Amino acid sequence: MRSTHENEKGTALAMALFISIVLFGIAAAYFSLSFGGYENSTREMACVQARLAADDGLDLAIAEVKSLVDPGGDGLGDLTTTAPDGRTITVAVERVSTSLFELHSVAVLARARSGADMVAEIAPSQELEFSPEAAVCTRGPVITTGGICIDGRDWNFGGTAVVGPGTWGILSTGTIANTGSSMVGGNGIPPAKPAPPGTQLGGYTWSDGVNQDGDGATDEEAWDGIDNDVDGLIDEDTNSYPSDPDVACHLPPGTLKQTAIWYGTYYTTPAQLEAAILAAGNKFPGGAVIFCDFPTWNPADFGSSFNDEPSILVHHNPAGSATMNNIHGKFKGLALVDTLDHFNANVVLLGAMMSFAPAGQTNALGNGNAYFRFSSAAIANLPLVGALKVKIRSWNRSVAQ
Amino acid sequence: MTIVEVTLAMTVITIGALSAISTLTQSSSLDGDLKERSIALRAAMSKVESIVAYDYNDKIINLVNYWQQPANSTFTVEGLAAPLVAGLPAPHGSITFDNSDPLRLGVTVTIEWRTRQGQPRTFTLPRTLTEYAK
Repeated sequence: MRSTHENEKGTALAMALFISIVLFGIAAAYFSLSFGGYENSTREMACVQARLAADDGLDLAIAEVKSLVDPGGDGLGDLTTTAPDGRTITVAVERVSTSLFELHSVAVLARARSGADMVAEIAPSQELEFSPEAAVCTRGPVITTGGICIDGRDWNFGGTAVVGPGTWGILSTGTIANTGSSMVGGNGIPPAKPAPPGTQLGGYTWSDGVNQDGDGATDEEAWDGIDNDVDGLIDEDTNSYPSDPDVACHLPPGTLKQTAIWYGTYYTTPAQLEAAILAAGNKFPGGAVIFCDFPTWNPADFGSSFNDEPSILVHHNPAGSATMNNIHGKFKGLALVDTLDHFNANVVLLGAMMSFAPAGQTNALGNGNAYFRFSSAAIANLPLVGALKVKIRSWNRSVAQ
Repeated sequence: MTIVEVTLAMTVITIGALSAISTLTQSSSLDGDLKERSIALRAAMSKVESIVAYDYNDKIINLVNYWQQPANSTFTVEGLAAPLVAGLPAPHGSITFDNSDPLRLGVTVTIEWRTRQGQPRTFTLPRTLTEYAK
Protein backbone atom coordinates (compact mmCIF):
# COMPACT_ATOMS: atom_id res chain seq x y z
CA MET A 1 0.00 0.00 0.00
CA ARG A 2 2.72 2.34 0.96
CA SER A 3 4.50 1.85 -2.31
CA THR A 4 1.19 2.43 -4.25
CA HIS A 5 0.64 5.79 -2.54
CA GLU A 6 4.20 6.66 -3.25
CA ASN A 7 3.55 5.95 -6.96
CA GLU A 8 0.57 8.38 -6.93
CA LYS A 9 2.64 11.26 -5.63
CA GLY A 10 2.29 14.31 -7.93
CA THR A 11 -0.72 13.02 -9.91
CA ALA A 12 -3.13 15.45 -8.22
CA LEU A 13 -1.00 18.38 -9.29
CA ALA A 14 -0.65 17.02 -12.79
CA MET A 15 -4.42 16.54 -13.06
CA ALA A 16 -5.00 20.03 -11.72
CA LEU A 17 -2.63 21.50 -14.27
CA PHE A 18 -4.26 19.50 -17.04
CA ILE A 19 -7.77 20.57 -16.06
CA SER A 20 -6.63 24.20 -15.76
CA ILE A 21 -5.04 24.11 -19.21
CA VAL A 22 -8.19 22.60 -20.73
CA LEU A 23 -10.38 25.20 -19.05
CA PHE A 24 -8.14 28.03 -20.15
CA GLY A 25 -7.92 26.62 -23.65
CA ILE A 26 -11.70 26.56 -23.96
CA ALA A 27 -11.92 30.09 -22.61
CA ALA A 28 -9.17 31.31 -24.95
CA ALA A 29 -10.89 29.74 -27.95
CA TYR A 30 -14.16 31.41 -27.03
CA PHE A 31 -12.40 34.72 -26.51
CA SER A 32 -10.67 34.36 -29.85
CA LEU A 33 -14.01 33.80 -31.58
CA SER A 34 -15.58 36.74 -29.83
CA PHE A 35 -12.68 39.02 -30.65
CA GLY A 36 -12.82 37.91 -34.27
CA GLY A 37 -16.50 38.78 -34.36
CA TYR A 38 -15.79 42.15 -32.82
CA GLU A 39 -13.13 42.84 -35.41
CA ASN A 40 -15.51 41.84 -38.17
CA SER A 41 -18.09 44.21 -36.75
CA THR A 42 -15.54 47.03 -36.72
CA ARG A 43 -14.66 46.32 -40.33
CA GLU A 44 -18.33 46.24 -41.27
CA MET A 45 -18.81 49.64 -39.72
CA ALA A 46 -15.79 50.97 -41.60
CA CYS A 47 -17.21 49.53 -44.83
CA VAL A 48 -20.54 51.24 -44.27
CA GLN A 49 -18.82 54.53 -43.55
CA ALA A 50 -16.66 54.10 -46.67
CA ARG A 51 -19.74 53.36 -48.75
CA LEU A 52 -21.49 56.48 -47.54
CA ALA A 53 -18.34 58.51 -48.12
CA ALA A 54 -18.19 57.25 -51.72
CA ASP A 55 -21.84 58.27 -52.11
CA ASP A 56 -20.92 61.68 -50.68
CA GLY A 57 -18.36 61.97 -53.47
CA LEU A 58 -21.00 61.29 -56.11
CA ASP A 59 -23.29 63.93 -54.61
CA LEU A 60 -20.53 66.51 -54.49
CA ALA A 61 -19.53 65.80 -58.08
CA ILE A 62 -23.12 66.07 -59.30
CA ALA A 63 -23.41 69.36 -57.44
CA GLU A 64 -20.39 70.68 -59.32
CA VAL A 65 -21.76 69.52 -62.64
CA LYS A 66 -25.21 70.98 -62.03
CA SER A 67 -23.98 74.30 -60.73
CA LEU A 68 -21.33 74.57 -63.46
CA VAL A 69 -18.99 75.73 -60.71
CA ASP A 70 -15.61 74.07 -60.32
CA PRO A 71 -14.23 75.35 -57.01
CA GLY A 72 -11.12 73.18 -57.20
CA GLY A 73 -10.31 74.14 -60.77
CA ASP A 74 -9.56 70.49 -61.50
CA GLY A 75 -12.30 69.88 -64.04
CA LEU A 76 -16.04 70.09 -63.68
CA GLY A 77 -17.11 67.30 -61.32
CA ASP A 78 -13.58 66.12 -60.57
CA LEU A 79 -12.68 66.58 -56.94
CA THR A 80 -10.52 65.37 -54.07
CA THR A 81 -11.58 66.13 -50.54
CA THR A 82 -10.30 65.11 -47.12
CA ALA A 83 -12.68 65.17 -44.17
CA PRO A 84 -11.61 66.09 -40.62
CA ASP A 85 -11.63 62.43 -39.64
CA GLY A 86 -9.05 61.65 -42.31
CA ARG A 87 -11.26 60.05 -44.92
CA THR A 88 -10.32 60.92 -48.47
CA ILE A 89 -12.80 61.07 -51.32
CA THR A 90 -11.71 61.26 -54.94
CA VAL A 91 -14.13 61.62 -57.83
CA ALA A 92 -13.51 61.59 -61.57
CA VAL A 93 -16.26 62.61 -63.98
CA GLU A 94 -16.40 62.02 -67.70
CA ARG A 95 -19.00 63.73 -69.89
CA VAL A 96 -19.94 61.04 -72.38
CA SER A 97 -22.49 63.15 -74.22
CA THR A 98 -24.30 66.45 -73.70
CA SER A 99 -26.39 65.04 -70.90
CA LEU A 100 -24.75 61.72 -69.99
CA PHE A 101 -22.04 61.56 -67.34
CA GLU A 102 -19.93 58.74 -65.94
CA LEU A 103 -18.90 59.33 -62.35
CA HIS A 104 -16.35 57.28 -60.41
CA SER A 105 -15.99 57.94 -56.70
CA VAL A 106 -13.48 56.31 -54.36
CA ALA A 107 -13.50 56.80 -50.59
CA VAL A 108 -10.52 55.72 -48.52
CA LEU A 109 -10.88 55.30 -44.76
CA ALA A 110 -8.41 53.94 -42.27
CA ARG A 111 -9.81 50.41 -42.38
CA ALA A 112 -11.81 50.26 -45.59
CA ARG A 113 -12.13 51.72 -49.04
CA SER A 114 -15.20 51.87 -51.22
CA GLY A 115 -15.84 52.72 -54.84
CA ALA A 116 -19.07 53.85 -56.46
CA ASP A 117 -19.65 54.15 -60.19
CA MET A 118 -22.66 55.95 -61.56
CA VAL A 119 -23.96 56.80 -64.97
CA ALA A 120 -26.24 59.79 -64.66
CA GLU A 121 -28.26 61.78 -67.10
CA ILE A 122 -28.19 65.42 -66.14
CA ALA A 123 -30.32 67.68 -68.28
CA PRO A 124 -32.65 70.68 -68.16
CA SER A 125 -36.09 69.66 -67.02
CA GLN A 126 -38.49 72.44 -67.90
CA GLU A 127 -40.62 72.66 -71.00
CA LEU A 128 -40.64 76.09 -72.57
CA GLU A 129 -43.78 78.03 -71.83
CA PHE A 130 -44.06 80.01 -75.04
CA SER A 131 -47.20 80.54 -77.03
CA PRO A 132 -46.39 82.23 -80.33
CA GLU A 133 -49.12 84.55 -81.46
CA ALA A 134 -47.60 85.12 -84.89
CA ALA A 135 -44.82 83.93 -87.16
CA VAL A 136 -43.16 87.30 -86.52
CA CYS A 137 -43.80 89.44 -83.45
CA THR A 138 -42.21 92.84 -82.99
CA ARG A 139 -42.39 95.68 -80.54
CA GLY A 140 -41.62 98.36 -83.12
CA PRO A 141 -42.97 99.12 -86.62
CA VAL A 142 -42.41 96.61 -89.44
CA ILE A 143 -41.60 97.13 -93.11
CA THR A 144 -41.54 94.08 -95.35
CA THR A 145 -39.39 94.60 -98.41
CA GLY A 146 -38.16 92.82 -101.52
CA GLY A 147 -39.40 89.28 -102.09
CA ILE A 148 -39.75 88.12 -98.51
CA CYS A 149 -42.67 85.81 -97.72
CA ILE A 150 -43.98 85.71 -94.16
CA ASP A 151 -46.46 82.90 -93.64
CA GLY A 152 -48.35 82.38 -90.37
CA ARG A 153 -50.03 79.21 -91.58
CA ASP A 154 -48.94 76.09 -89.75
CA TRP A 155 -46.14 74.29 -91.57
CA ASN A 156 -45.15 70.73 -90.73
CA PHE A 157 -41.98 69.77 -88.89
CA GLY A 158 -40.00 69.31 -92.08
CA GLY A 159 -41.18 72.62 -93.49
CA THR A 160 -42.53 70.88 -96.58
CA ALA A 161 -46.29 71.35 -96.30
CA VAL A 162 -48.98 73.45 -94.67
CA VAL A 163 -50.89 71.36 -92.13
CA GLY A 164 -53.17 73.89 -90.45
CA PRO A 165 -54.46 77.46 -90.40
CA GLY A 166 -51.76 78.52 -87.95
CA THR A 167 -51.72 82.04 -86.64
CA TRP A 168 -50.99 85.62 -87.67
CA GLY A 169 -48.18 86.30 -90.10
CA ILE A 170 -47.06 89.49 -88.33
CA LEU A 171 -48.13 91.09 -85.06
CA SER A 172 -46.66 94.40 -84.03
CA THR A 173 -47.32 97.07 -81.47
CA GLY A 174 -46.38 99.56 -84.19
CA THR A 175 -47.41 99.98 -87.81
CA ILE A 176 -46.86 97.44 -90.58
CA ALA A 177 -45.99 98.45 -94.15
CA ASN A 178 -45.57 96.01 -97.04
CA THR A 179 -43.39 97.09 -99.92
CA GLY A 180 -41.83 95.55 -103.02
CA SER A 181 -43.17 92.11 -103.84
CA SER A 182 -43.21 90.96 -100.21
CA MET A 183 -46.12 88.75 -99.20
CA VAL A 184 -47.79 87.95 -95.91
CA GLY A 185 -50.12 85.06 -95.06
CA GLY A 186 -51.54 83.54 -91.92
CA ASN A 187 -54.67 82.36 -90.11
CA GLY A 188 -55.29 79.92 -92.96
CA ILE A 189 -54.83 82.53 -95.69
CA PRO A 190 -51.99 81.90 -98.19
CA PRO A 191 -49.36 84.62 -98.52
CA ALA A 192 -50.28 87.31 -101.02
CA LYS A 193 -49.38 90.81 -102.05
CA PRO A 194 -50.74 93.01 -100.72
CA ALA A 195 -51.16 91.26 -97.37
CA PRO A 196 -54.75 90.00 -97.14
CA PRO A 197 -56.81 91.15 -94.18
CA GLY A 198 -56.45 88.76 -91.25
CA THR A 199 -52.82 87.94 -91.94
CA GLN A 200 -51.11 90.78 -90.10
CA LEU A 201 -52.06 93.18 -87.34
CA GLY A 202 -50.41 96.44 -86.42
CA GLY A 203 -51.04 98.42 -83.25
CA TYR A 204 -51.55 95.22 -81.31
CA THR A 205 -51.50 95.94 -77.57
CA TRP A 206 -50.86 92.38 -76.36
CA SER A 207 -53.93 92.68 -74.21
CA ASP A 208 -56.05 89.75 -75.28
CA GLY A 209 -59.11 90.68 -73.22
CA VAL A 210 -59.07 87.29 -71.53
CA ASN A 211 -58.94 86.85 -67.77
CA GLN A 212 -56.35 84.06 -67.81
CA ASP A 213 -56.00 83.66 -64.04
CA GLY A 214 -59.69 84.02 -63.25
CA ASP A 215 -59.11 86.68 -60.59
CA GLY A 216 -61.75 89.13 -61.76
CA ALA A 217 -59.22 91.45 -63.41
CA THR A 218 -58.39 91.23 -67.10
CA ASP A 219 -54.89 91.74 -68.51
CA GLU A 220 -53.75 93.35 -65.27
CA GLU A 221 -50.03 92.55 -65.46
CA ALA A 222 -47.23 94.11 -67.46
CA TRP A 223 -45.21 91.34 -69.14
CA ASP A 224 -42.01 92.14 -67.29
CA GLY A 225 -41.17 89.24 -65.02
CA ILE A 226 -42.47 91.12 -61.97
CA ASP A 227 -45.46 90.39 -59.79
CA ASN A 228 -47.00 93.83 -60.41
CA ASP A 229 -50.28 93.17 -58.62
CA VAL A 230 -48.61 91.37 -55.71
CA ASP A 231 -50.84 88.32 -55.92
CA GLY A 232 -47.98 85.85 -55.80
CA LEU A 233 -48.11 85.24 -59.54
CA ILE A 234 -45.78 86.64 -62.18
CA ASP A 235 -47.02 87.66 -65.63
CA GLU A 236 -50.13 85.55 -65.25
CA ASP A 237 -52.41 87.82 -67.31
CA THR A 238 -50.39 90.27 -69.37
CA ASN A 239 -51.10 93.51 -71.20
CA SER A 240 -47.76 94.45 -72.77
CA TYR A 241 -44.99 93.23 -75.03
CA PRO A 242 -42.51 91.03 -73.10
CA SER A 243 -39.44 92.89 -71.97
CA ASP A 244 -36.80 90.29 -72.85
CA PRO A 245 -36.43 86.67 -74.04
CA ASP A 246 -36.44 85.15 -70.54
CA VAL A 247 -39.56 87.06 -69.62
CA ALA A 248 -41.23 86.07 -72.89
CA CYS A 249 -40.72 82.43 -71.94
CA HIS A 250 -41.84 82.96 -68.32
CA LEU A 251 -38.37 82.09 -67.06
CA PRO A 252 -36.29 83.68 -64.29
CA PRO A 253 -33.65 86.15 -65.53
CA GLY A 254 -30.59 84.47 -67.00
CA THR A 255 -32.19 81.06 -67.46
CA LEU A 256 -31.72 80.89 -71.23
CA LYS A 257 -28.09 81.92 -70.94
CA GLN A 258 -27.44 79.37 -68.18
CA THR A 259 -29.16 76.67 -70.22
CA ALA A 260 -27.03 77.53 -73.25
CA ILE A 261 -23.89 77.27 -71.12
CA TRP A 262 -25.09 73.84 -70.06
CA TYR A 263 -25.69 72.73 -73.66
CA GLY A 264 -22.25 74.07 -74.58
CA THR A 265 -23.86 76.48 -77.02
CA TYR A 266 -23.09 79.79 -75.37
CA TYR A 267 -21.02 81.84 -77.80
CA THR A 268 -19.20 85.09 -77.21
CA THR A 269 -17.95 85.58 -80.76
CA PRO A 270 -19.48 84.89 -84.19
CA ALA A 271 -16.43 82.74 -85.00
CA GLN A 272 -17.34 80.31 -82.21
CA LEU A 273 -20.87 79.92 -83.57
CA GLU A 274 -19.63 79.55 -87.13
CA ALA A 275 -17.23 76.82 -86.02
CA ALA A 276 -20.12 75.00 -84.30
CA ILE A 277 -22.26 75.25 -87.46
CA LEU A 278 -19.40 73.87 -89.51
CA ALA A 279 -18.83 71.04 -87.01
CA ALA A 280 -22.54 70.12 -87.19
CA GLY A 281 -22.29 69.57 -90.96
CA ASN A 282 -23.14 73.11 -92.00
CA LYS A 283 -26.28 73.08 -89.87
CA PHE A 284 -27.29 75.21 -86.94
CA PRO A 285 -26.75 73.34 -83.63
CA GLY A 286 -29.94 71.36 -83.05
CA GLY A 287 -31.94 70.66 -79.90
CA ALA A 288 -30.19 73.35 -77.87
CA VAL A 289 -30.45 76.89 -76.62
CA ILE A 290 -27.99 78.95 -78.66
CA PHE A 291 -27.13 82.09 -76.77
CA CYS A 292 -25.16 84.61 -78.83
CA ASP A 293 -23.51 87.03 -76.44
CA PHE A 294 -22.03 89.37 -79.02
CA PRO A 295 -23.45 92.55 -80.56
CA THR A 296 -23.26 91.83 -84.27
CA TRP A 297 -23.10 88.85 -86.61
CA ASN A 298 -22.38 89.87 -90.19
CA PRO A 299 -22.74 87.96 -92.43
CA ALA A 300 -24.95 85.59 -90.47
CA ASP A 301 -25.05 82.16 -92.10
CA PHE A 302 -27.29 79.61 -90.36
CA GLY A 303 -26.07 76.75 -92.56
CA SER A 304 -27.30 75.14 -95.74
CA SER A 305 -29.78 72.68 -94.11
CA PHE A 306 -32.27 72.83 -91.28
CA ASN A 307 -30.99 71.82 -87.87
CA ASP A 308 -32.31 68.28 -87.15
CA GLU A 309 -33.99 69.25 -83.87
CA PRO A 310 -35.51 72.69 -83.29
CA SER A 311 -33.38 75.09 -81.29
CA ILE A 312 -33.91 78.32 -79.40
CA LEU A 313 -31.78 81.13 -80.79
CA VAL A 314 -31.22 84.05 -78.42
CA HIS A 315 -29.46 87.17 -79.68
CA HIS A 316 -30.34 90.03 -77.40
CA ASN A 317 -28.79 92.66 -75.18
CA PRO A 318 -30.43 95.02 -72.67
CA ALA A 319 -30.44 97.88 -75.21
CA GLY A 320 -32.18 95.67 -77.79
CA SER A 321 -29.43 96.45 -80.29
CA ALA A 322 -27.99 93.00 -81.06
CA THR A 323 -28.06 92.59 -84.82
CA MET A 324 -27.71 89.81 -87.34
CA ASN A 325 -26.98 91.22 -90.79
CA ASN A 326 -26.89 89.82 -94.30
CA ILE A 327 -28.54 86.55 -93.36
CA HIS A 328 -28.15 83.25 -95.20
CA GLY A 329 -29.25 79.69 -94.53
CA LYS A 330 -31.95 77.79 -92.69
CA PHE A 331 -33.06 77.69 -89.10
CA LYS A 332 -35.75 75.66 -87.35
CA GLY A 333 -37.08 76.67 -83.95
CA LEU A 334 -37.69 79.83 -82.01
CA ALA A 335 -35.67 82.96 -82.71
CA LEU A 336 -35.67 85.44 -79.83
CA VAL A 337 -33.61 88.22 -81.34
CA ASP A 338 -33.32 91.97 -81.44
CA THR A 339 -32.83 92.66 -85.12
CA LEU A 340 -32.56 90.48 -88.22
CA ASP A 341 -31.47 92.65 -91.11
CA HIS A 342 -31.23 91.92 -94.86
CA PHE A 343 -32.30 88.41 -95.74
CA ASN A 344 -30.81 86.67 -98.75
CA ALA A 345 -32.69 84.48 -101.19
CA ASN A 346 -31.98 81.12 -99.60
CA VAL A 347 -33.18 81.97 -96.11
CA VAL A 348 -35.92 79.83 -94.55
CA LEU A 349 -36.88 80.32 -90.93
CA LEU A 350 -39.28 77.64 -89.71
CA GLY A 351 -40.96 78.12 -86.34
CA ALA A 352 -41.46 81.59 -84.93
CA MET A 353 -39.54 84.77 -84.37
CA MET A 354 -39.90 87.45 -81.71
CA SER A 355 -37.98 90.70 -81.86
CA PHE A 356 -36.84 92.63 -78.80
CA ALA A 357 -35.66 95.75 -80.61
CA PRO A 358 -36.97 98.97 -78.97
CA ALA A 359 -40.41 100.24 -79.85
CA GLY A 360 -38.91 103.18 -81.72
CA GLN A 361 -36.89 101.02 -84.07
CA THR A 362 -38.37 99.92 -87.37
CA ASN A 363 -37.95 96.23 -88.20
CA ALA A 364 -37.09 96.04 -91.88
CA LEU A 365 -37.69 92.44 -92.97
CA GLY A 366 -36.77 91.66 -96.50
CA ASN A 367 -34.56 92.26 -99.47
CA GLY A 368 -34.21 88.68 -100.79
CA ASN A 369 -36.72 85.93 -101.51
CA ALA A 370 -36.62 84.67 -97.95
CA TYR A 371 -39.31 82.68 -96.13
CA PHE A 372 -40.60 83.00 -92.57
CA ARG A 373 -42.84 80.01 -91.92
CA PHE A 374 -44.71 79.42 -88.72
CA SER A 375 -44.57 75.82 -87.44
CA SER A 376 -46.32 74.71 -84.27
CA ALA A 377 -44.56 71.34 -84.59
CA ALA A 378 -41.18 73.03 -84.39
CA ILE A 379 -42.27 75.10 -81.39
CA ALA A 380 -43.69 72.01 -79.68
CA ASN A 381 -40.34 70.25 -79.96
CA LEU A 382 -38.08 72.94 -78.57
CA PRO A 383 -35.38 71.78 -76.16
CA LEU A 384 -35.93 71.68 -72.42
CA VAL A 385 -34.62 74.61 -70.40
CA GLY A 386 -34.14 75.66 -66.80
CA ALA A 387 -33.17 73.69 -63.72
CA LEU A 388 -31.09 70.60 -64.28
CA LYS A 389 -32.46 67.29 -63.10
CA VAL A 390 -30.52 64.12 -62.45
CA LYS A 391 -31.68 60.71 -63.64
CA ILE A 392 -29.52 57.84 -62.48
CA ARG A 393 -29.07 55.31 -65.26
CA SER A 394 -26.83 52.81 -63.48
CA TRP A 395 -25.04 52.42 -60.18
CA ASN A 396 -22.34 50.03 -59.07
CA ARG A 397 -20.54 49.74 -55.75
CA SER A 398 -17.46 47.88 -54.60
CA VAL A 399 -15.84 47.70 -51.17
CA ALA A 400 -12.36 46.58 -50.19
CA GLN A 401 -10.50 46.32 -46.90
CA MET B 1 -0.89 12.24 -2.00
CA THR B 2 -0.24 14.61 0.83
CA ILE B 3 -2.23 17.47 2.19
CA VAL B 4 0.33 19.81 0.70
CA GLU B 5 -0.07 18.27 -2.71
CA VAL B 6 -3.85 18.46 -2.59
CA THR B 7 -3.72 22.06 -1.46
CA LEU B 8 -1.36 22.95 -4.27
CA ALA B 9 -3.57 21.19 -6.83
CA MET B 10 -6.65 22.94 -5.57
CA THR B 11 -4.86 26.27 -5.79
CA VAL B 12 -3.81 25.63 -9.38
CA ILE B 13 -7.34 24.58 -10.36
CA THR B 14 -8.78 27.65 -8.66
CA ILE B 15 -6.40 29.99 -10.45
CA GLY B 16 -7.07 28.25 -13.77
CA ALA B 17 -10.81 28.33 -13.27
CA LEU B 18 -10.80 31.99 -12.28
CA SER B 19 -8.75 32.87 -15.38
CA ALA B 20 -11.10 30.89 -17.56
CA ILE B 21 -14.15 32.52 -16.00
CA SER B 22 -12.59 35.96 -16.44
CA THR B 23 -11.86 35.26 -20.09
CA LEU B 24 -15.35 33.90 -20.65
CA THR B 25 -16.84 36.97 -19.00
CA GLN B 26 -14.81 39.26 -21.26
CA SER B 27 -15.85 37.24 -24.28
CA SER B 28 -19.45 37.44 -23.26
CA SER B 29 -19.09 41.19 -22.84
CA LEU B 30 -17.53 41.46 -26.30
CA ASP B 31 -20.42 39.46 -27.73
CA GLY B 32 -22.84 41.86 -26.10
CA ASP B 33 -20.97 44.84 -27.50
CA LEU B 34 -20.92 43.24 -30.92
CA LYS B 35 -24.66 42.71 -30.88
CA GLU B 36 -25.31 46.27 -29.70
CA ARG B 37 -23.00 47.80 -32.32
CA SER B 38 -24.74 45.84 -35.06
CA ILE B 39 -28.08 47.16 -33.89
CA ALA B 40 -26.68 50.71 -33.71
CA LEU B 41 -25.18 50.40 -37.19
CA ARG B 42 -28.48 49.23 -38.67
CA ALA B 43 -30.38 51.99 -36.90
CA ALA B 44 -27.95 54.68 -38.11
CA MET B 45 -27.97 53.36 -41.68
CA SER B 46 -31.74 53.25 -41.71
CA LYS B 47 -31.96 56.83 -40.52
CA VAL B 48 -29.36 58.06 -43.02
CA GLU B 49 -31.32 56.43 -45.83
CA SER B 50 -34.52 58.09 -44.62
CA ILE B 51 -32.80 61.47 -44.59
CA VAL B 52 -31.29 61.03 -48.05
CA ALA B 53 -34.62 59.87 -49.46
CA TYR B 54 -36.50 62.89 -48.10
CA ASP B 55 -37.97 64.90 -50.97
CA TYR B 56 -36.82 68.45 -50.22
CA ASN B 57 -38.29 69.90 -53.37
CA ASP B 58 -35.07 71.46 -54.67
CA LYS B 59 -34.48 73.42 -51.47
CA ILE B 60 -32.26 71.58 -49.05
CA ILE B 61 -33.30 73.89 -46.25
CA ASN B 62 -36.63 72.04 -46.35
CA LEU B 63 -34.75 68.88 -45.43
CA VAL B 64 -32.96 70.62 -42.56
CA ASN B 65 -36.17 72.15 -41.27
CA TYR B 66 -37.97 68.83 -41.35
CA TRP B 67 -35.31 66.78 -39.65
CA GLN B 68 -34.55 69.47 -37.07
CA GLN B 69 -38.06 69.35 -35.70
CA PRO B 70 -37.86 67.92 -32.18
CA ALA B 71 -40.05 64.99 -33.14
CA ASN B 72 -37.65 64.04 -35.92
CA SER B 73 -34.21 65.09 -34.69
CA THR B 74 -34.10 62.41 -32.00
CA PHE B 75 -35.40 58.89 -32.15
CA THR B 76 -35.50 55.74 -30.14
CA VAL B 77 -33.48 52.73 -31.16
CA GLU B 78 -35.28 49.42 -31.05
CA GLY B 79 -33.29 46.43 -29.89
CA LEU B 80 -30.88 48.10 -27.52
CA ALA B 81 -31.63 47.25 -23.91
CA ALA B 82 -32.00 49.96 -21.30
CA PRO B 83 -29.12 50.11 -18.81
CA LEU B 84 -29.58 48.22 -15.58
CA VAL B 85 -28.32 51.18 -13.60
CA ALA B 86 -31.22 53.45 -12.72
CA GLY B 87 -31.18 57.06 -13.87
CA LEU B 88 -29.12 56.52 -17.00
CA PRO B 89 -30.65 57.58 -20.34
CA ALA B 90 -32.27 55.01 -22.59
CA PRO B 91 -30.67 54.20 -25.94
CA HIS B 92 -31.45 56.90 -28.51
CA GLY B 93 -30.35 58.42 -31.77
CA SER B 94 -29.93 62.03 -32.80
CA ILE B 95 -29.44 63.92 -36.06
CA THR B 96 -27.24 66.98 -36.33
CA PHE B 97 -26.57 69.23 -39.28
CA ASP B 98 -23.59 71.31 -40.26
CA ASN B 99 -24.62 73.88 -42.85
CA SER B 100 -21.69 76.21 -42.41
CA ASP B 101 -20.71 75.50 -46.02
CA PRO B 102 -23.55 76.80 -48.23
CA LEU B 103 -22.79 74.20 -50.88
CA ARG B 104 -22.56 71.20 -48.58
CA LEU B 105 -24.81 69.99 -45.82
CA GLY B 106 -23.12 67.73 -43.31
CA VAL B 107 -25.52 65.29 -41.68
CA THR B 108 -24.41 63.19 -38.74
CA VAL B 109 -26.53 60.45 -37.23
CA THR B 110 -25.38 59.52 -33.74
CA ILE B 111 -26.55 56.50 -31.78
CA GLU B 112 -25.88 56.61 -28.04
CA TRP B 113 -26.46 53.81 -25.62
CA ARG B 114 -25.03 52.24 -22.49
CA THR B 115 -23.98 48.72 -21.85
CA ARG B 116 -25.83 46.70 -19.26
CA GLN B 117 -23.10 47.74 -16.86
CA GLY B 118 -23.67 51.41 -17.64
CA GLN B 119 -20.63 52.12 -19.77
CA PRO B 120 -21.37 54.74 -22.47
CA ARG B 121 -21.18 53.76 -26.14
CA THR B 122 -21.50 55.98 -29.23
CA PHE B 123 -21.66 55.27 -32.93
CA THR B 124 -21.73 58.03 -35.55
CA LEU B 125 -22.43 57.89 -39.27
CA PRO B 126 -21.67 61.04 -41.29
CA ARG B 127 -23.12 61.90 -44.70
CA THR B 128 -22.70 64.94 -46.91
CA LEU B 129 -25.57 66.21 -49.04
CA THR B 130 -25.85 69.00 -51.56
CA GLU B 131 -28.81 70.94 -52.80
CA TYR B 132 -27.92 70.11 -56.37
CA ALA B 133 -27.66 66.35 -56.01
CA LYS B 134 -31.22 65.51 -57.00
